[in-house]
Amino acid sequence: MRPSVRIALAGLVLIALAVAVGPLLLGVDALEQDLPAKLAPPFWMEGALAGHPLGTDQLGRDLLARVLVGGRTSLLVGFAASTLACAVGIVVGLLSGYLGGWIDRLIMGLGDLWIAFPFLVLAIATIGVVGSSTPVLITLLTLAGWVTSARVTRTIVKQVRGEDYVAASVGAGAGHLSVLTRHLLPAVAGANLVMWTFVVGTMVLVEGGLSFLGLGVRPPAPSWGTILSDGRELLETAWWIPLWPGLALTLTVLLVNLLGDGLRDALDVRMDDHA
Amino acid sequence: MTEPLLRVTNLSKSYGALRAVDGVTFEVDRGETLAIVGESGCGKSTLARCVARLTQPTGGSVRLDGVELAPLSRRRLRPLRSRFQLVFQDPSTSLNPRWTVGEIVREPLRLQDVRGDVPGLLSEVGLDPELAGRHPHRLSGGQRQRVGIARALALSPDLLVLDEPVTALDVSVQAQIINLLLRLQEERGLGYLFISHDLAVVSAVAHRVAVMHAGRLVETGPAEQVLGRPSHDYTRALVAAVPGA
Amino acid sequence: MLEVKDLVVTAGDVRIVDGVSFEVRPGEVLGMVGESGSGKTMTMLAVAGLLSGPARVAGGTAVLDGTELTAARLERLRGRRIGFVFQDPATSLNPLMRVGTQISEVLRIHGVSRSEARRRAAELLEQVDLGPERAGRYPHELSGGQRQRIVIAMAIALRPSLLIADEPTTALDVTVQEQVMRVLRTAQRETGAATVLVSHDLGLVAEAAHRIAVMYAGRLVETGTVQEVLGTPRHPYSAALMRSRPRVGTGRGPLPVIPGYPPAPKSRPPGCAFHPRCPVTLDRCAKETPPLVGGVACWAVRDD
Repeated sequence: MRPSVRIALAGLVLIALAVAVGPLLLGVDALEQDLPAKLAPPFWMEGALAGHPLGTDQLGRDLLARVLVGGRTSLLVGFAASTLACAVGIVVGLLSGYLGGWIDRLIMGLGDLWIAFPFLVLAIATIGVVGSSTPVLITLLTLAGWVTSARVTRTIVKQVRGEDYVAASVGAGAGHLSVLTRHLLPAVAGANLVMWTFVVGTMVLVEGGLSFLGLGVRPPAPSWGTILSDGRELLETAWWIPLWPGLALTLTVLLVNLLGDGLRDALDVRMDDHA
Repeated sequence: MTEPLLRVTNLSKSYGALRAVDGVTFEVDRGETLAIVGESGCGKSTLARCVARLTQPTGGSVRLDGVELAPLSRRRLRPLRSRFQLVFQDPSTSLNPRWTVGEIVREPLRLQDVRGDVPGLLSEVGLDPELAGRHPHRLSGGQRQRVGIARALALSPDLLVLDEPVTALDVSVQAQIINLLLRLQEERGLGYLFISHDLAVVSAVAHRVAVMHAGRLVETGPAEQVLGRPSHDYTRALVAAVPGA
Repeated sequence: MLEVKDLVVTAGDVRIVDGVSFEVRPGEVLGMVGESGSGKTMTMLAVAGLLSGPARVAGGTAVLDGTELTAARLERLRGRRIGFVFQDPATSLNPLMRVGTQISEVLRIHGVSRSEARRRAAELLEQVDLGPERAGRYPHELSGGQRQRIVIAMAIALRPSLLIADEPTTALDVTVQEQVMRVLRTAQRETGAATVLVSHDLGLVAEAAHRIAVMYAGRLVETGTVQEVLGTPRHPYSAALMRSRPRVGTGRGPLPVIPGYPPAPKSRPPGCAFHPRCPVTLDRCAKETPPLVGGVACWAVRDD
């Protein structure tokens, strides 16, 4: 494994562990308000409070606890949505590319329409009607993300379906299911795995953006996006409030992209190196 | 009169207005090689794919040992597929690059749910059975084509449809594969439908030759006659165009 | 006149071309034959300074009409003094440009005026058996053979002194091959260019070349006139290659084969690279590499 992949994996595991176990070890309630302690700066600044190393927000809630707990939502939404989006994309892309003809044109046409449709309008409308919750966010982001994966999958399937080894398989009696699962799915797996890592980054960011706009998880429950959003009016005085979720978000996206880059290089085996 | 191994009658395949294969009739017997020669775009590869039923012909009949295959559905055809197998032109695209040689040769056995001897098949085509664990990109072109032939033999077919099987190979390797095909035919009594544009190669393998032009067979006969004393103008042009003949 | 001396091409630690020397006189066609991995294409790419990827020239010289072909000079000489015809005409032409424009473009780049270039383009089309009315066509409107003839017209547009044709007809049909080769040979005769015809097809080389150079595993193993090399080959590899070639009219039956496979560049055997496949092996064959002496590189032949 390349060093960059190793670093990225280790970093992501650390973040996941911190988010999962951190709040328990910390023993501080992320929702507990303590108005006298509001807007405490981080530890290295004058006026920092013991027990609040990263400072507090305008309601005196501990920022370390909030960033850790908020990470649960952000990462859950990000990883779940990108995984589902890629899964839906693979299934749709496989069918579209394999079946071809009018089904292919219909699916890809819908995909184009879908991409052209402003996602934010859909998000506002949906959340306006059913309200916001983690499952709703995951569903929305999945709906927004499947098309890219479907297109990439379809392109690969179109090409591989015409390869002679698929013809040989059919000639030996392979049915549709066998061709799809044995030849085509493995052929699209690599590209989708790489794409998945990039989509994770995007999804975490989009969740942050939605929460920032007030369309994400409902306060007081935190996510990185909502903490950022809370801190926006106080940027000049209490800049540390958006700093921490911003850093966490940036670091996560960076690591995931690093992982994607590494995987892409690792999976890019030259199949035809007959020098 | 006994039924020939393969009897193709009035076979046609159209794509819209284009008649790629236009009423083609021929027979192939056990232990016999019929070569279909012609230039690219003449329909010979489409013909191969129709006979191997990788594509459904639009008309005519394909009888293997008297059993009509042309109208059968993909599902009904499946158990009959072990009787006829295909060998492709380019061994670098006809082997799944993600699979090992062993997995590739075993695939037909798995699909038809029969037992088979993969190391035995590899030795039969002149490959070291040790190569079973390798991926195709680590083999030479000639070795890859041997893998393709081993896969085609896995189900013990009666008929091999060979679509330009030595075209992508080097001269010295071409001769090896030609000799291998001749030996296998003799040992197994295989019928060959041998598609090629290369008259020199055809002359080394074919008992009979059929010349295809614009979707139709313009001349059919014993190899010496068609290649030595061609009667159709197009065949004459083909033979005259062979460099260094 | 092209003079190549001790050319070495490496990729990493692998010597793809290993000390190749040959000459081509003006007006002469040298057929360079060999199997895949023999280094025949690499040799000519190196001469033309068109190597890519990890491959690079690690030794030797190439001199064209007294001028050494260095990387800096090749930049200017390609197109003007050196013309190319590659295997696939589809990738040699710009699909978005009319073929006439592409031919005149070659002339325009080298300082020919617009009207003169147009006139010359029409002439060149004529020269490759295509009517001037084809000038307005796009590559996709032409057949493979016609496209390759456009490429030939472009290659000879500036009357180069070296013409390199790498498998010029391999992608074409038999009946079209003949015409393209005729056009190529006429063009070559008219320009008087020293020509290297790289091909795996012995029959084609026999008809088109004056002399033949046989490559095996990165080295020249035999050179000579077409009659010498094809008629009475001396190197065991050339001899075996001629025998194993199927021919129209020899009838059905097994061919004499060379056992084994041509070695990959990174796993070439020591000594004479052909010795593991050779029917006549001496002790020294496995230890010492035979030099090319008197047109053949073989210990057994020299000891005769």
